[in-house]
This record gives sequence, C-alpha cells and structure tokens, in this order.
Amino acid sequence: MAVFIIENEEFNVEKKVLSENRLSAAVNGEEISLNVFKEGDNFYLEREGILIPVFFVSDDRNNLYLHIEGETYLVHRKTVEEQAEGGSQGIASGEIEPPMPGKILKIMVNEGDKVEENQVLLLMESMKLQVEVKAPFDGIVSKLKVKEGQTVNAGEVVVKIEKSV
Amino acid sequence: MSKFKRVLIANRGEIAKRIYNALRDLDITPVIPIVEKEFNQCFTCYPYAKLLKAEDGIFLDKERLIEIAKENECQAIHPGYGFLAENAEFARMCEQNGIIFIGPPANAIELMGHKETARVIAEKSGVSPVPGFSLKGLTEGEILKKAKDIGFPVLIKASLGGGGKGMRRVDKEEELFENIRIARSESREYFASEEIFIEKYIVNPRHIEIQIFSFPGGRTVYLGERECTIQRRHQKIIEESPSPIVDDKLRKEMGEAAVALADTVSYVGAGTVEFIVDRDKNFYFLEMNTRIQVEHPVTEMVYGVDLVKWQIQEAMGLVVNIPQENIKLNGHAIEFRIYAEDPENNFMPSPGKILKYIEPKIPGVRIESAVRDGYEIFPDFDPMIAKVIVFDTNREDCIQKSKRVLNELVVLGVKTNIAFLKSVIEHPAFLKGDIDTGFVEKYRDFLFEKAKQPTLTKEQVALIASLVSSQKKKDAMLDCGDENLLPEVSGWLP
Repeated sequence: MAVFIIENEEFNVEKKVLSENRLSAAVNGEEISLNVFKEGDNFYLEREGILIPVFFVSDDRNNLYLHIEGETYLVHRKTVEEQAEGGSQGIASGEIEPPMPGKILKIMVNEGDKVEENQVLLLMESMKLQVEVKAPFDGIVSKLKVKEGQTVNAGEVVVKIEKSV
Repeated sequence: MSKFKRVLIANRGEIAKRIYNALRDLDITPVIPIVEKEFNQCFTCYPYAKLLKAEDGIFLDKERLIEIAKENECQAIHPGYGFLAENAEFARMCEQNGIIFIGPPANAIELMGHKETARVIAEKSGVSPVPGFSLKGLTEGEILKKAKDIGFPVLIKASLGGGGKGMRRVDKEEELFENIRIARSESREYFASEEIFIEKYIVNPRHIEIQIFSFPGGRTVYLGERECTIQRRHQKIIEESPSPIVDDKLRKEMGEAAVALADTVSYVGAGTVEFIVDRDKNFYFLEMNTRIQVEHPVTEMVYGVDLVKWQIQEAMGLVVNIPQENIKLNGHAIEFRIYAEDPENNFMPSPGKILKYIEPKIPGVRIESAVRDGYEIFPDFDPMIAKVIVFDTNREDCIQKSKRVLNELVVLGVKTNIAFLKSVIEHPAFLKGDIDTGFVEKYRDFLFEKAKQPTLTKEQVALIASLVSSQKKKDAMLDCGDENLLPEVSGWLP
C-alpha cells in the first residue's frame, strides 16, 4: 500500500494491478482504473484512443511533480516513517508495499507466522537508508513474495498479512 | 565600419542568452561574466562564448565591468535591460575607456532617466504628458492648490523612479501630505533622491508603448506599438503587438509623437516611448525607456526585424537604412512572461530548483530562456523563467494557439504563473480586447477560479503517482542531484 498526499488530502492506493495497458487499484477503497501506455521512459494516459503525455519528476523529499494536459500536480508520497507517525496503522488489506524501491536485506518472518502489530517483518535498504517494514496489525503472514537480496519497486506487494479475527 | 571581435554581455538570464544569440549570428565572440553560484548551471549553455566566473553584484559594478571588458579585449559592452542599462554614468565611463556602450548616448539616457526633465522635453516636442507638476520649491498651499486643479485621484511618483517603486495613489486631499512624506522616504531609499512629482491618476487606462529605432545621422523610425496593459504588481505579464485598439491612424499619431521626442534628444539606437491611453483613446506621454525592453520580441515577430542585432550593427557603425514605409506590420504576436511565482499568494516569487523544463516545439513559437533541467531560480535574482512569444496571422488565432503553447510548456519543481496566464487569455474581456491596467484586480475571482479546474480527479492523480513513483526513482535522482554530474571546470576557466 502507498499513501499519497494531494493538497492536504490523503489517498491510500492498494491492490494495484497493471495488466496489458490497464492500470487499476483501490484508491481510498474505491476501485478506479486508467489506460496507460509506456514507451521507453515516456508515459502516456490513453483516453478513447488518444494519447496524453504524462511528464513527471520527483525531488529528494518524496515529492512527485506531474504535468498532464497543461495541469500540474504536486503529490507527496508518505514514507513508512511518516505513515507510522501519522498512526495510520489500520490498513485494511494487509498488502504491504515498501515505501520506496530498494533491496531486501533481511526477512524476519515466514509464511504462516503469527505476527503482532508493529512487529518488524523485514529490513530493506533504500537510497543508503535502512528501513524496517512493520506489520500494520496483529495477524498471520499469509504470503511472502520476496527473498533476501531481491530488489523491489515501490508499489510492489512484498508481504500479505491476514488480519486475526 | 569596424567590426567587433568580442562584446561583453553585462547581464544574465534570458536577456544574456538573447544578446549571445545576436552576437553569434554576427560572428562576434560573446564574453559573459557569470556569478559563482550560477556558474555550474550556466556554463554549458553558452558554447563558443568566453565565460568568466564573477563576484556577486558584478552587473552593477561599473569599474569591474570595464576592467573585465579591457582584460578580455572587448570592443563594446551590451547592458541588456535593468542593471546598468539606463545608467548614464556607466555609458560615459565606457566612452572614456574606449569601449562602445551599446545603447543611446549618455546625454539622452540622462535626460530621459529624469522623469520631470523627460516631461518637459515631451512637451517641447509636442507630445503631451499626463497633467502634473514638480514639487520642487512649492509651499504646501501651492501643492494642494495644484493637486486640486488637476483633480483627485492623483499619483505621486519618484522623479528617478521606475518599475512601480516609489509610486503612490492618493484619492483624497486629506491624505495628500502623508503620502508625499512616504513617497519622499521611499524615493530616498530606492533612488537616493527625494525629488518627487505629482500627476493626474488616469483611472483604468491602457498602457501602450511605441518601439523606435534611431539610426545615426538623425533618422528615426517607429515599429508600431506594444499593448502592455495586463499587469500584476505594476509589472507587465502579457504584451502584444499590435494593440487591439490601435488603428492605422492612431498608430501613425503615436509613432510620429515618439519619433519627435527621440529626435529632440538626438537619440541613437533602440528605445521605447511609453504612453498612457484613456478610454477615449487620448494618449499621454509617460516615460521613455532608453534600452532594449523585455517585451521587444513581439515587435520583432510582427515586423520581421532583429532589434538586438540592429543595436549591435548600429554600434559598429553599420548603416541600417530602412525607410519608414518599408516597416510593415504582419500578423499578431503575444508574449507571456513565465515567472516562478505564486499567483495565489499575491504573486510572490517562488524560487527553487526547476526539476524539469520542456519547451514545446511548435512553428511560430519563440521561447527566450536560459533555463534547463536542474536550473535554480535564486531568491536574489528576477524570478523569470522564460518569455514565450506566440505568433499567428491575427489576434484570435494567436490567442487560440497560445492556449496550446501554454498547455504544452512543462515547468516542474517550482510554482509558476502558467495556469494564471491561461485563465487571463480565456477571459471574455481579454478576448474582446477590452482591458485596462486594473484587469487582474477586477477579474480576480474568475482568474483564480479558472486557474484551478483540473481535468483529472485527485484519485486518478494518486493512481498515476503510484505507477510513476515506483518506476522513475533513477531518473528522479538524476534530476535532483545534477551538480554531481557536471565535470570539473576549474581547469580550463579562470
């Protein structure tokens, strides 16, 4: 899961799927999708067969700047630390994504393990920074999708936790 | 005629680039001082030019500029606009040191630089200035009487002022002397002079200026007008040529008035005579700018000329002989000044690093800028990012095309006025050409409402963000840390 802030509003993006050219995800629980097209480093939105270029760049403070159809958008991506500070631990799906792309250094749990809220699941390194990925709530590790040493993208689900009833 | 080999550019940013281009066209080597903190972001922007690392404040340091010009064997200095462009003393110093100042004679700069003197000269040339008077030697009683004769509201101005500084509008006679006191102290602070004068405040006027060019030997031509009415904080943001209200007859009248004025002061080179135009199309002399102006490209586009090149050629003694009847208006051009600023916060400058900058490549669109990816807009310099000049056959098409151009100009990383400019040209009053200097204030609600109507929902933006933020980390790092990618430069430059 990733949390974005746009004009002081929070948007939780989860269950993201990119299949063919269809990008879909649940944004704040609501299913939305867009057609996208990628050519080299260039991204486009596709609307009724019309390609709309997406210009974007990020800075070193997790801000993403977008230019689409003459409009500019500033999007802040919340880091794990910021998410923890904000106390947003009630992530319903339990699909855990790393806050930024990086390398998995150490995995602390196995599939089927019982975990407690805030228990460290894995340790990763990103931009020379070690980041702990923690369990958002009490539950069971239902899926472990990565191995130690593997490189992952932000937005990629690495662990899934099934909430304890 | 003796051809220049090297010319010093005593300026920075887009105008330095503009002069650089004209010099390169003429096969003259530009010599450009660049301040230390801008050096890394500029030094590959000027291939074939000699670049010098310079101290902060260089563009106001007369002695040092002349020293640099001599050290680097420059035959002339182009001052651009702002800084020392209208400094008569600097023009004289250049002359005394055997360096040609690319601009009018020092004497003309001096006469026109003093607003009251300029008013007197205008009157002598048969060009009426806005009714007004100097405060010099008048008692309070006399001042009040004269102000009442003109009629309130009046405008207090610093004699040596410019750029909206030291200007105060007074609506009631009770407030007159308090404002005079403040204007005096502002004038002392900004222009080191307490001289002020009062003129009639023309409510909701238009601001229209005539471009002139005087060739040696006393012949001056005019190159039509520029409508510079759309302003914010007393500074122009959109300029166009021709003006939607100026017809051939008015153009000729204003043009000939400007030429008469230039001839009175034996002007040489490029100059601009600014007029205030009221609702009934009466025009009053405001001031003369004795330099190349920011908005000169709109004139260049519609008259098919290169004013900066003319300036340089004229300075080399080359006779550019173009009779008035050969100066023909063709098409319409609009210039947009793109600033790093926050329109919603009273257009305050919004300095910072431009992470991504993409100029649209569209025929008939000219962009003047020194910016590129990673370029930092420093708080102590003018926050202009670019000038976008759009040309088309008529005003309607030109406005239409401008929307496309502004939509396709990409500036990411700092706040800009692009969305605001787009809403200005979408306003029905702008389309009709029914504008005055109060436009931005008057239509504030429309302009700001229009400026924020995104086509995507925030949810969709979040979804797009989730995709690109996971894939572009590498590039993002390149964009943010580009200093590290620049090669070591200390070896080959002073």
